[in-house]
Amino acid sequence: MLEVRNLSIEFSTRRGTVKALDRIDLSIAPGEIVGLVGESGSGKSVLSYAISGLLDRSARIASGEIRWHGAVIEPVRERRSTHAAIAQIFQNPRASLNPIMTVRRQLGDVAGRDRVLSLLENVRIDPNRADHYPFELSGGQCQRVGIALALGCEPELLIADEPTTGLDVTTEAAIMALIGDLSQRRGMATLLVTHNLALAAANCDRIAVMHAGQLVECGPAEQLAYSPMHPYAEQLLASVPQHSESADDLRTVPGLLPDLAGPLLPCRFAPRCDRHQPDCDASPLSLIARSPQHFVACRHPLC
Amino acid sequence: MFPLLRSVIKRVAFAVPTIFGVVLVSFALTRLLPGDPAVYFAGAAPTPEAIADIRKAMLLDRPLLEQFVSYVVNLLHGDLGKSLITGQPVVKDLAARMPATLELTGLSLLIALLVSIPLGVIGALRKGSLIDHAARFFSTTALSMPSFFTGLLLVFVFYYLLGLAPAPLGRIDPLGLPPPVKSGLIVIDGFLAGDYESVTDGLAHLVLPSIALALSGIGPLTRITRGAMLTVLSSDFIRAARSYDMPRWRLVYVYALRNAMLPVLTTAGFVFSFLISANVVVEKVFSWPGIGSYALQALVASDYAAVQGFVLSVALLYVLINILIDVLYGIVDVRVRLAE
Amino acid sequence: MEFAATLQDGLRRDPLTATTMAIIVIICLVAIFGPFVASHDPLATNPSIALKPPTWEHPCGTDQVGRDICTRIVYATRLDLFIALSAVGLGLIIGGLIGSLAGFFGGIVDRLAMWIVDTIMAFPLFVLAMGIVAALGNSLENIIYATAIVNVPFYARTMRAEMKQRREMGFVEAARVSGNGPFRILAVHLVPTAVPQLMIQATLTMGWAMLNAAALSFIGLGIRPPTPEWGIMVAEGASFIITGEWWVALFPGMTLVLVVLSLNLVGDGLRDVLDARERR
Repeated sequence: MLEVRNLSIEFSTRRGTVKALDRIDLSIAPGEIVGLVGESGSGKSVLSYAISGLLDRSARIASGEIRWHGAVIEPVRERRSTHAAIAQIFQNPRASLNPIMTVRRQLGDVAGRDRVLSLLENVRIDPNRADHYPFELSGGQCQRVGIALALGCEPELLIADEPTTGLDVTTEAAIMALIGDLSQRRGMATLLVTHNLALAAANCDRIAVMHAGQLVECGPAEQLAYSPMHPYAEQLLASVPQHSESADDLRTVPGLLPDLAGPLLPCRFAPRCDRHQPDCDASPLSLIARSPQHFVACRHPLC
Repeated sequence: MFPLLRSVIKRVAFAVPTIFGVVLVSFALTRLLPGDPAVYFAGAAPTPEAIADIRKAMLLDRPLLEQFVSYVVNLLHGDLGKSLITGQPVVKDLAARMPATLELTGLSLLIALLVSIPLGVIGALRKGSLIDHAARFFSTTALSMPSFFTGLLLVFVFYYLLGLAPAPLGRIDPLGLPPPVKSGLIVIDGFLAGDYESVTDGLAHLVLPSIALALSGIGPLTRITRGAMLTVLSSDFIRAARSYDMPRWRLVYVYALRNAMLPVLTTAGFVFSFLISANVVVEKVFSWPGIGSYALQALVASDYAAVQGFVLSVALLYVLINILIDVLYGIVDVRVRLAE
Repeated sequence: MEFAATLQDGLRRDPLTATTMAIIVIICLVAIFGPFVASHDPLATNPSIALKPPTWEHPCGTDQVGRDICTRIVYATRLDLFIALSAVGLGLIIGGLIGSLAGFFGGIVDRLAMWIVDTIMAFPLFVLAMGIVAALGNSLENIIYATAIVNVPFYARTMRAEMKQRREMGFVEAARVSGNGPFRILAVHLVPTAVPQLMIQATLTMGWAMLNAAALSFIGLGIRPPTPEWGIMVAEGASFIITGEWWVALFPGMTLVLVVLSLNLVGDGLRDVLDARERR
């Protein structure tokens, strides 16, 4: 349904050209839930915005393309010639709603007035809340309204960008359950963008790991979460609280993300990698299939 | 309607310290006159009896506090003293001339908003384009033009050179008959009386002075509109709204513009104070019979009661406008109203 | 000095600001040296050449009593710049003081200071200036005082915001721990850091102060004829506009606009440069 092929995106800024995405390959099938995982600055948001068509005008495709049911689509929504039924929900749910309009008005503007109540019912919000303003709702309720707005666009693909950041754990579970349930019932595909590998492992069919604008590993959620192949995926996994015994054990990924405006090595993780070998810097590398479903972009994978 | 009334009362209560400050300043201004204020208030060629009377009336022989209390009590009774030139109570004079000033200021605020908001919106939508730079330069130039000079330039071009505008001599042709006074606004009174000649004549006289005035408000209003639009357009909820395939006009003019109007509304209050200031000089240029030219006549004749009465009433008018704007703000943005 | 470097860098990228800065420098030179090179006496009347349009001898024409308008503009530049500079300087001192005390000490000092500022702002400012000059009397000093007072709120607010923001930073605490009194911290450590912001505010209000002072003399307050001053000259030319002797009001008016426009453009440019620095 969605195919991202060899996609590179650059931004021109005052500091120079930022190579935000480097030759990304990713596909999503109907009904599938895919996790897109990485630290902030890894390019996962740029990729998700490119797919949903929310990139800035300053973005430029340096190579590759995005295909929706076979047709090429632009990363800027206003320039798309074919309509792609892709909707997005956002982190910071309250700020993503118009502060001075009621829930009813906003849902009505997107989906038509007659669908407001059924949409609210879908996301399990009391219809009495329809005439409330965003500031009168809790964070979880705002995110439900955000989901209702996205559903109002009848999406085939829902992009959930850190949908539970800033929400408490109970609400997080409820929102994730809601998304899972809706995708199942509607046959809707979901791209879950998160920095939390554990959250992705628990909710997704497949996971793609990004680092500094490159896709470093992509595979079935269980395989990736239990036996990651890329050193970065392993370190990312170790930085998730559930996997460590004590606070001392809890690690962060060492080193900093490289400056994407400066010169870059073929493997952008090389400067931070403890398995780094001289041949890593030799030539551009691409995803290598380690099994029919599992790909990794590393010359010296863990397994 | 009830919560609205409550919010109005609350705003008025908030304004009390400011109103107190304003009254205190205007009291101080009447007592600051060098030498004996009574001599100043008595006018050009005062008799000793007149001075003594005024001294008594102003309680100048009493302690300052008592003078202030009686000043406030007089104010509460709507007493700003008597004008020397007209021999009338200052309040009555000001009330008679207020419609002319409000007509001019109101129309110019309208013009300023009608020009600035589109300019600011276009500037924000096409940030960095030629039209954006042109709009910014135009608004800065407008801000740099003293309105007395703009007024004169307009008179020169449209009256002397082109002959399109009537002579800058008041609100209506000196030979014409004004319509019977109902609202005090000539255009509206003309409509009410079915006197369309007065309507067109009144409008023709209004055009140049209100443009001259409006120009001084366009600078700040355009800037604020542009800045507010840029902020709103880059906000999360606009990006979200983009993702819902909303038509562009709704995105820009309903979602973004309505939110951007909030800071514009606040600035409009400040611009009103700009306009009411510039109004004084524009009224002079166009011989406009409003409260500004009344104050100027009073200045020339050292009619201090009239001058200070003008200063105080304009300040109170401005306080009133700000209260009105706060209430409007609460209507547009429910967060403010419901937070109370 | 870091600010000077940023400024230099910013100006190189922004030719408009550089050009307007050059205009301001030229105008200052005219104000200082102009009277020495001016060919005519600004007050000498000559009825035989009254109301003559511009010629080589009189590039801006002559006024109703035959005075050379060009010479009068040169002398007026000196006076108007003097008024604006003194008013802004005085306003900066008073406003800076009020703002820094309010921002640094907070509490009751802040409330009182803000009440004063809000009270001034509650008046349409030109009208307040009018009232002040009318009350204090018609003189040059009183125009300066009035213009300074109506500018105070802007400086006080800028200073207060800067102080509030910087008070929270660590280095104030460090200075306090090493035994500095509050006034010393304020004067040595805090006020200097707010200078760039205050200077931009001063540039932006300088043009406005000029318009304000010119408008006061236009309506007959403060400076009296025959002293050459832009507002008075425009006022004198006003009645000739209707009869077509445009040069009497046009040249002094245009000079005023040019100076104020340059000041506003420079102020904007400086603000952009500083904003860009803070964004980094």
